[in-house]
This record gives sequence, C-alpha cells and structure tokens, in this order.
Amino acid sequence: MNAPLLELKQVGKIYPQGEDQLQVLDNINLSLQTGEAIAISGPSGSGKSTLLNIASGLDVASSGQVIFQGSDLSHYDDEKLASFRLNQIGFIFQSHHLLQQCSALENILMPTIPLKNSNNSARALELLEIVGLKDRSNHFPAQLSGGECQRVAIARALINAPKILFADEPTGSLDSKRSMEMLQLLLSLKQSQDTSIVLVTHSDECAKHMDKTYTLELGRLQS
Amino acid sequence: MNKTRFILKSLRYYYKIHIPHFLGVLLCATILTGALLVGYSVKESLREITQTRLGHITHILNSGDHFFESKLANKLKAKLHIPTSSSLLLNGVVASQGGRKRAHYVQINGVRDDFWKLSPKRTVPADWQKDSVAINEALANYLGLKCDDEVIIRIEKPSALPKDTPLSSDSEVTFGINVKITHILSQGEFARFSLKSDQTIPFNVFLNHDFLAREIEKPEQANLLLISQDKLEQQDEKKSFSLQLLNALEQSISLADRGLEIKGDSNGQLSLQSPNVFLPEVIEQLSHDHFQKSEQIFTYFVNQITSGDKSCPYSFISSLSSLSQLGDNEIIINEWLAHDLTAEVGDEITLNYYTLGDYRELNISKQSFTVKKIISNNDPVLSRELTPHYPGLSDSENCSDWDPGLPVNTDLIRDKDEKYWDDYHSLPKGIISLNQAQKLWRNRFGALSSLKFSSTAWTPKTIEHIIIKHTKASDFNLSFNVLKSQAIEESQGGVDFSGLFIGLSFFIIASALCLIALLFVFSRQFRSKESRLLLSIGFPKKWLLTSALYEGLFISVLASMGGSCLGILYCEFIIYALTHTSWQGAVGTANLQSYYSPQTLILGISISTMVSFGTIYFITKKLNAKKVAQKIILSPLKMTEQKPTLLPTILCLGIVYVIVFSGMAQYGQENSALFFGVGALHLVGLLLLTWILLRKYSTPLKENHLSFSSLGLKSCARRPLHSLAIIASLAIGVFLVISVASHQKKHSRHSLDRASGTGGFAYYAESAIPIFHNLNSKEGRYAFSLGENFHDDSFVQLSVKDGDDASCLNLNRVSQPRLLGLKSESLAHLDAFTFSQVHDKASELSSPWLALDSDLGERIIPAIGDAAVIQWGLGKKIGDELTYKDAKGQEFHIKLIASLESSLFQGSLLISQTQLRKLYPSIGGARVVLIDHLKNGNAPDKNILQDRFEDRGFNLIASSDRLERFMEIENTYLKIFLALGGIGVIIGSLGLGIMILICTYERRSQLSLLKALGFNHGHIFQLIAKEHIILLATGTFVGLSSALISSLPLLVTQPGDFPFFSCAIFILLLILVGGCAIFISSYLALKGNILRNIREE
Repeated sequence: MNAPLLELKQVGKIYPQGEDQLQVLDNINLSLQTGEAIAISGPSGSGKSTLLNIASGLDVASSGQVIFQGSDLSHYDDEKLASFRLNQIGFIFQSHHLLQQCSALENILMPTIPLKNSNNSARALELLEIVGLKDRSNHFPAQLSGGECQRVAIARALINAPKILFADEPTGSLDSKRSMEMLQLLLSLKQSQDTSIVLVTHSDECAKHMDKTYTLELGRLQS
Repeated sequence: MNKTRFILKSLRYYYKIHIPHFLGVLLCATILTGALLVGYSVKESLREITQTRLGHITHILNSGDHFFESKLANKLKAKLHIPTSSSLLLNGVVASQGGRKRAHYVQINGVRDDFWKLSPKRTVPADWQKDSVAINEALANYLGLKCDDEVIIRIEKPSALPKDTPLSSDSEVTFGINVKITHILSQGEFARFSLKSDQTIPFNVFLNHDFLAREIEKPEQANLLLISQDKLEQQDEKKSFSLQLLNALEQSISLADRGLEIKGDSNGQLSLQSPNVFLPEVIEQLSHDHFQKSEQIFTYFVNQITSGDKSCPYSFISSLSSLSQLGDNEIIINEWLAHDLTAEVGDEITLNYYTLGDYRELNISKQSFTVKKIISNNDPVLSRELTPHYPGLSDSENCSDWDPGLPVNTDLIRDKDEKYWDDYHSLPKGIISLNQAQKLWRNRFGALSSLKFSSTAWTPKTIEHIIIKHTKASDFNLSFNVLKSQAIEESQGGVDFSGLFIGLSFFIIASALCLIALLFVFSRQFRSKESRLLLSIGFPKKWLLTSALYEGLFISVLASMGGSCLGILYCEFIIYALTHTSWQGAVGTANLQSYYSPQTLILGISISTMVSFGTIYFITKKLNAKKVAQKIILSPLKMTEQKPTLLPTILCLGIVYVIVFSGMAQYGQENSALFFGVGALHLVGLLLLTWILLRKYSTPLKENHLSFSSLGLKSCARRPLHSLAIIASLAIGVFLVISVASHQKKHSRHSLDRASGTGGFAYYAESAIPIFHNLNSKEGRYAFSLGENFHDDSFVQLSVKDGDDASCLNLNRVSQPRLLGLKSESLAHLDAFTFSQVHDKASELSSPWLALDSDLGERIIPAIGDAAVIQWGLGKKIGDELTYKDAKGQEFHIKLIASLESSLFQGSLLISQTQLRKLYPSIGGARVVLIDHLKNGNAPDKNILQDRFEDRGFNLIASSDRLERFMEIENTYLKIFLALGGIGVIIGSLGLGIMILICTYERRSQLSLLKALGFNHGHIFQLIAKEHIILLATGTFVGLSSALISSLPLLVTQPGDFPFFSCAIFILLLILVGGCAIFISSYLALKGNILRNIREE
C-alpha cells in the first residue's frame, strides 16, 4: 500500500474560553490516499469545519501531527503553508467567497496570480466549461445565482490542479437536485483529475457516494 | 433598551471605527477655532496697541503749523473738569554718534507733567525734571542709545511766514538741539505715543515743553491739545460731551489762539494783525460783513518801481479800502518816490514784483499804473503801521541786512534807499486800490495784511467780541477729533485675520472634511449588515438615519470641543510664526499677542460642529437614499450607476492643448490668470479621464490575464468615485500649492520701465522736514549741491498732508489715508506708471494723470490711488468717495478716479498739488521726492543724496526695494498659504494611510480568502500597497502636470524665477509621507491572523 497522501495523527484542538478550555477535537486519526474521496459528517458544532481547517493548513492543531506527503505541516512557516495551500490543495467554502469586483473567469484565475503563470487562461476556460458556465465567463458574482457562484468556486479551487480538494458543505446552500449535480461534478473531477476529496457534509445521500465516511462526534472521529 | 442606549452602546462598541472620524473632526476644529482665535488675537492686539499709544486720551486738537496758547488746556480743564494737556508735536531727525547714525521721522514732543497723567500708567516718569529727555525703546534700539548718551535733535523751525512764500527766509529751515538722554520709556509710559492708526512703533523723543517752546521761539505756545474723557460708555453721552467740548473750545479760544493780535498805532488807531503776516480768509469775510467801517489794508513788497528810464528798488506798496475812488490802474505815490522817479501826476509807472510759484519759485510780474496824486511823506494816509512785520525785513537796521527769502541784489540799493530806510523804515511809497492789490497779490495765505479801526468807534474788546461771535475755532485750524473711538474702530475694521487664516488653511480643513466624509461612509458600510438586519426586523429607515446622525453629532461635538482646545495651540503657533519668523512680513510688527475669549472658543466649537456634522448629514442622506428593500437585499458593494462620458474629457483637454500649443495666448505675465484657468481645466480633464479609466478597469479584462498590478487597478476601480475622490483631493492640493507658488510676485530689480511700479524712477525718498526748493531748478540744485548730472525733470516733488498709512503694511482699516499733492504734468509727460482701472471721464484724457486737475464739482477732489490700497486698504472701488476735513474744519470729498497697478504710492492717495494747497494752505514744500536716473542712465549715488538732504531727515530707498516691500506682504501671504496648504495636502496623503486601515478592515473577508487560496503575507501586502500607490501617483501626476501648465508663462519667460526647489521638496515630501503612510498602514492592517476571519465563517 502506498503511503497516505495526507495523514492526521492524534490531532487535537483546544480553544481557550476564559479560564476554561473547550476541546473541539480529541485524538483524531485520519489518512487519505491519492485519488480517495472521504466524507466527514456529524452534528452541528461537532468540529467538522475545525478538522477541515486543520487538515488544509488553515488552522493549527493544538496537539498531534498533520502530515502531507511525509512532511509535518506543523513545521511549516507561513510562507510554506501558503505555498502548500496554493499548490497542493483546493478549498471550497460553504459560502462561495467570490471577489465581487472580478468576473467569473477572473475569480477562477485568482489563485494563479502568485504563481505568475500567464498560461492558465485556457485551463480556466476549460474548468468553466466543466462546471457548465462557459457562457458566463464575463459575468460578475452579482449576476450569478448562488449555485452558479458555488460552481465558480469549485473551478477556482481546481485551477492549480491540487492534489486534495477540501469542501466544507459545498452544497449547504443548494437544493437537493443541485446538490446531487454538485456532488456528481466533484466525483467526475476526482476521476478525471485524480484529485483526492475531503468532503464535510450533513447529507447522508452525499456521504454514501464517497469512498469512506467518518462521523465526528464529541470531538472524536469514528469511521 | 431604547434609542439613546442603543446609540451609546453602538458608540462604545464601534469606538475603533469612530477614532479616525473623531481625529478628522478634531483636526478640522483645531484649524477653524485656531483661525478664529488668530483673528481675535490680531484685533485685540491692535486694540491694545491703540490703548497703549493713546493712553487715556480720547480727543485731540492737532493744529499742525498753527500755534495757540498753552493755557487753552487749563481753560478747558476749568470748564469741563476733565484732564487736559497741551503739548508740542513736531517732526524731526535724531542723530547719534556724531551724526553717523540717524533716525528719521522722529516725533519730537514737548510735554508737561499733565501729559504723563494721560499715559496708560497715568504716572510721570520717575525723576522727571525740567531738563529731562526721554526716548522710547524703539529709538534707543535703532540708534544703540542708552541713558546719558548725547544726541542731536534736528527740527523744522516754525516760522511766522509759511516757508514757501517768497518773503520767507530760506536760511535756518531746521535747527539742531544737543541733548542728553535721561529716560528710556516703556510701553506704559507713552513710549508708543502716536496719533496715527498704525501697529508699527514710532520713534519718540519727549522734552520739557517750556524748553522746546523756547528753542522754537514759540514760548507758552502749543500745537497739540489732548483731552481725556474715557468715563463715558453710551453713544449719547459721548455725543453730548463732544458738543460740550466744542462749546467750551469756542468760549475759550482767544485772539492769540486764532493767530491774531490787536495793536495800537502811533495815530491812536487800532490795528488787527497776524504774526503770520496775512490775515486769514475768514477775517477778510468778516471785514465785509461786520467790520465795514474798518480800513482793510494789503501791503506788499515789490522789487522795483520804474518810470521811464528811472527806477527805485525794493519798496513797499500798500492798498487801502477807504480809497475807493482810486481806480484799479491808478496809484498815489509819495513825494520821495515822485522825486526819485521824477514822476508827475498823469505819468505812468510800473511795479515789478514777485509772485509765488511752487517750491519757492518766483515769477516776476509787472503792472503799470497812472499817477493820480502825489502826497507828502508825512501824509496821515501813509504810515509805517500799514506794513506788517515781515521777518527778515522789518527787524533789519539797514537795507543791506535784509534777508527776506527773496533774491535781493544789494548792489541795487543806493545810499538814498538806505537813508529812506533810516528815516521812514517800512513806510509804503505808494498806494493802489485794494481791489487791484488783491487781484495781483492774493495768495493761499490771505489777501489782507491788517485791519485798521478808529479808536473812537472801536475798542479791542468790541473787535474781539465780534471776531469771537462770528467765527468758529475750526476757521483757524482748531477743531477736535474724537480720536480714541475712531482709532479703536479702525483697529477693529482692518484685515480680517480669521477669514484670512481660514482661507489660508483651506486645504487642511478640506482634507479633514474629505477624511471625515470618507471615514463616515466606511463606518456606515462597515455596519451595513447591522443596518440590513434592523431594516429586515422592521425598524423604520428614519430611525436608522437619526441614530446614525446622533452618533455623528456626538462625535462632532466632542471632537470640536477637543479641537477648540487644540486651536489655542494652533493660534499660539500662528502668532509666534507671525512675530518671530519670515511670516512677520505679513503683519509688519512683532507686537502681536495671543488673546482668547470664551465667545470665540464657543464660536469655533459651533462652526466646526456645524461643518463636520453638515458633512455627515449630507453623506448620511445620500447613503440612505436607497429604498428599504434595496438596502436589505443588495450588497453594499453595489457598482455605481454613474457613468462618465468621453465628450467633456475631450473638450477640456482639447481646449487646453490648443491654447498651449497653438500660441494663441502669449506666454507673458499678463496672461497669468488665463493660464491658471487653463491649468485648472487640464486638471478637470485629467480627472474625468481618470474616472473613465477607473470605469474601464471595473469591467472584465480582455486579455484574461490577471496580475498583482491589474488586480490592484481593479481594486481601485471597485469604488470608482471613492478612488476618484482621493485622487482629486490630492491633485487639487498639488495643483493649487504649486500654481500659487509660481505666481508669487517678483519685481525686476533694475527696471527702468516707466510702465512698471517704480515709474522708471531710481529712488523714492521721504523727508521728515519739507524741502521748499524746486530741485529741478538751478537754484534748487545749488541749494542742495546736487550738481549738473540730472535731467531737467529728474525730481518729482510731492507735498504731503499727513494721514494714516493705507498700505497693506497697516493692519488697521484707515478712513483718511495720507494725501500726496502732485503736479499732474510731471508724471503725465513721462507716461509713468500703469493704471489698472480708470474712471470713464479720466480715460478720455491723453493721460489719466491729467484728470487730477479736472473739476468734479463743489468740494469734490479727484484722486488716484494704488489698486491694492483702494480695494484692500480702504475697501472701496473706483468712483467711491472719502470724506476729509480741510484746514478750516470744513468737509470735502475725495473721489477715486483711477487706480495704479502695484506702485510706489501704496499707502497714500494722490491729488492735485494745487488742490492740496488750497485745502491746507499751511502745507508747504515737498516731503516725498521721486528721483530719476542720471543723464548717463545710472542711478545717482545714494550716499551722496542722503548726505545732501541729511538736515531734512531724508530717507532714501531704491524704488524697486520699496516695491519689493509691498510685494513682500502679498508674497508672505502666499508663503503662508503654501505652508498651510502644503500641510493640508500632506495630511491628505496621510489620510491614505487611514483609508488603507479602514479598507483592509472592510475587506478582511476578501483578504482572508486570498490568504486561504495561498497568497502569502507579502503578496497581500503588495496588493494593498500597489492599489494605494496607484491613487497617490495618479493624484500627484494629475496635480503636477496641471500646475506646470498653469505656470507656463513663468516657465517660458522667467524660468529662473520658478520655485523648482520648493516644489520639488513639496512633491518629494508628499510622496515620502504618502508612501510611508501606505506602507505603514498596509503593514499594520495585515498584522494579526487574517485567516481567522475565514475560519470563523
């Protein structure tokens, strides 16, 4: 068996609350293989988004290790973490977080700026076509529906061909039909791009399409 | 929870957002209140100066060359029971160190103890004795004097006969007194005593009155009467007192005060005469109305009496009103003359005599008469008493001792003439009709030499009674001025320094208001979610509006109160700068102090609250203009619907480039205003273009390539109007500061141009003591050893009627500027100076100067003044009139008929010399002289000229230097504007930093996203900094390029005068401060964990 692409070892997260402490995550162990899609579900406030943030390098664990391709993310400085987020992962937020002053195409190209890669416009257009918004490339977020914005966000997350795609309830603001379409899109991209997926979702229907499902409850992860 | 609680809680919770807003209002309030305090301080300083220079004096009687009895003051004191004082006030020169150092325009005061009781401290200086001599600190510092030092005081010697009459002796015009300084006076001891409304400190010398009076041969006489009645508050009381004073004066003045005396003659008759030789015009009128039975006599000194080939030199000819049967062409001669000329009845004899021209010019005239009768030398009709006392003549023992001021050729005097003088002295040799005599010899001093009364019909008392009853004190140049209240009024009506400094600080205020507006917008947008929530709950829009306004009002009031306290410091700074730095050129004195009043502070708080709250109100109204539904639904980052169009941009820039490159307008100083307008148009055009470009960058990029720079541009274009506002405020600031800097006036130091402000003259000179000679004549040049290198019209001499300085050097608003009497043709034929505006009628003449001689009606005198004096000093315009009083206290009007561009005459008004002498007969000679270049084109040697006229207290200055002094005021104001404007623009650039902090906070979710996407700290920093550097660079470029266009006339014609260095420093400072603000703010804005925001989503 190949070494995992991403591994979480005894990861814990504590938030100080005055004199008390709130343990959000406790002894989380998780591994992700290349091309694997996993779902993490759990009740609200269970720490799913916190787990996702730690795994993607957006947050730092209070204890344990996050190892990506053999390297412990906790040893990364800000620069390396930024480079990790730019080149290795893509993140789809619950709210699309598109830049209002940029068009759909420009929002997709946003992560290419630090790489000073001027050849990504073709890829951006290709991704736009994949998400079904080829004709809306010059439209601004204010001119797109919520679902369309979310699709642009997906395309943005994929522009740099990330190894892992993190999605934090990407269908949270969509109806069931659109949710399934979104899920199918993600899975097709997994197939075509060989991208691993970590999906946080409430929906059992979505979770059952993943290779593995984990449940987070009271800070502990159960498969 | 109620509305008030909500507002207070919001203020506390959002305090961080409110801090920059608070600072903006604080700055605005500081400047506004500070400027108001500066204005108040200047006014109070001028009031204090007025109080110091006048002490407790409220009314004055200044009779100038006319002297009255000192005891007049005691008479008034006895009648009115108020403090009074009579003193002597003369102009003089003080020399120290053996004459090496001189102070001109020194006020020489002869005073008594009661004078000191009118001083601010009301005390006589310690150890003041009869031989004490006091000077003020200003004079002491100027000449480097201390107590026990010796000085020479040179004074104009008063004479019975006006000095520019032919019979007045031209020797001993001045005389010197050697004195030792015993006191150096401080401000409270009348050191600053002066009758002129002026903030500058005069030079003063104080001597014992009796001592000075003896020196000038006017014992027990004075020419200044001071009254103190400062206990009255109400206007009615003051008016009533003025009437009382006038009545008391009328009742108190004696014949001697009127310059008259009654003497008995050898025939037992009474003779009314004047020590000034000629009886004033009012007495002549009285002789017709009330003294019909008196004998009117006019006796004159003639050079020569001829008949055929015989002649008799230097004789008196009289005229009597009683000989009415004598025809105008008839003459009665005495036996002696008849014998001398071998003349008989019916023969023709001719009188040759001098008449008075200007500046002691003597014109020889002649008139022929037929001998009607020959009378005995002892005929009762003839007597020596017919001839008044002529100084230089009447006291002489022999003809050869005569010194009458006329050129007397003693070689012509024969032995028989000496014998006649021995036997008959000044007995007239002939009599002509009074009518003819007055036609031939009337002058501005009078046309009668005496009135004779029969002692049987008249007594001295009855004569005096009629004179007192039918004349007024003002007929004899004795009238009171309500000096104190007028002076206080003038001190308060001058330059409005409050308005001036608000204007000069305009950029700081505008920058602060722009910041307030922008910060308030951001604060509202920052709280837009809260607003949307409240609206969705159901709060009325008006509720939100008023809450926002109350918050804004609270901050405005609090910050205004704080700002008014800081305004005190700002005022201190400005006053210090005006009195201790090069800004002193704007006020001409170091004697300004800071003053504060609760009313001014409250006014400052009120105005700054109104201004800042008004800005907030306007912004809030605009923000709340959207419908409620729109507000709930729409993102606050809605694109602006306003779209710029290309046409106005093309129009503006097109006009500019056509004018600049086509050569339509000449690049001369005369087109400065035009090019300023062109520059402003260029500014507008470029701003419109910037707006268009911002809109362009807000649309999708065509090349589908995104970079930091293009993202930065898109961020600028995110809110095009906000970005444009920042760019515009920077651009306008840079444009105005640099344009104004380049428009500072300069004068060519060696201008011989007649059309320039110097009139082409080399020097401008003023003398403390008049020059009575015509310096363009041989005699005049000889009298002052001037040599032959001058043209025939090298000197233009002007008489002076003293008044207040109306130039921009005087901060007081004057109502009666100094008058200069000019012979209009002296400047007309040179076509000297340039007129900025000319009244219609004056423009029809070959030269506007000639309009000074035009007849505008009864008691209306045409005048020409400097344009700046008319507009700023007097607050008048061409066609307006000013009211003066002549020597008799009668009103006349000065009408402004033309104005001069930046001339030497700033501070005075020019009228015809003839008119001036008519209105003020006692004014003789010239005290202002314009000196032209020599025949070889060089300027005369200044030291030699100074030396030749040193006895007259000549103060010589190069004409260009004098003009520079006036321009210095304007340039100083421009410097102040530049300094304050520059600070304002730089504050605006600091505002960029604050903007970054606010924008970054507002866009934290975006920045958090970029960080999440993999942008490192440096990338984000670069993004923010580039966005704002674009704004700074664009604003600077737009302003600078437009300013250079407006400065083209200077850059093309006199590039050396363009202030490259200061402009470069300003731009560098702007870039440096703006750049630092951008970098520091970008750094601060990105401190902390940016990712936290997106994690917490």
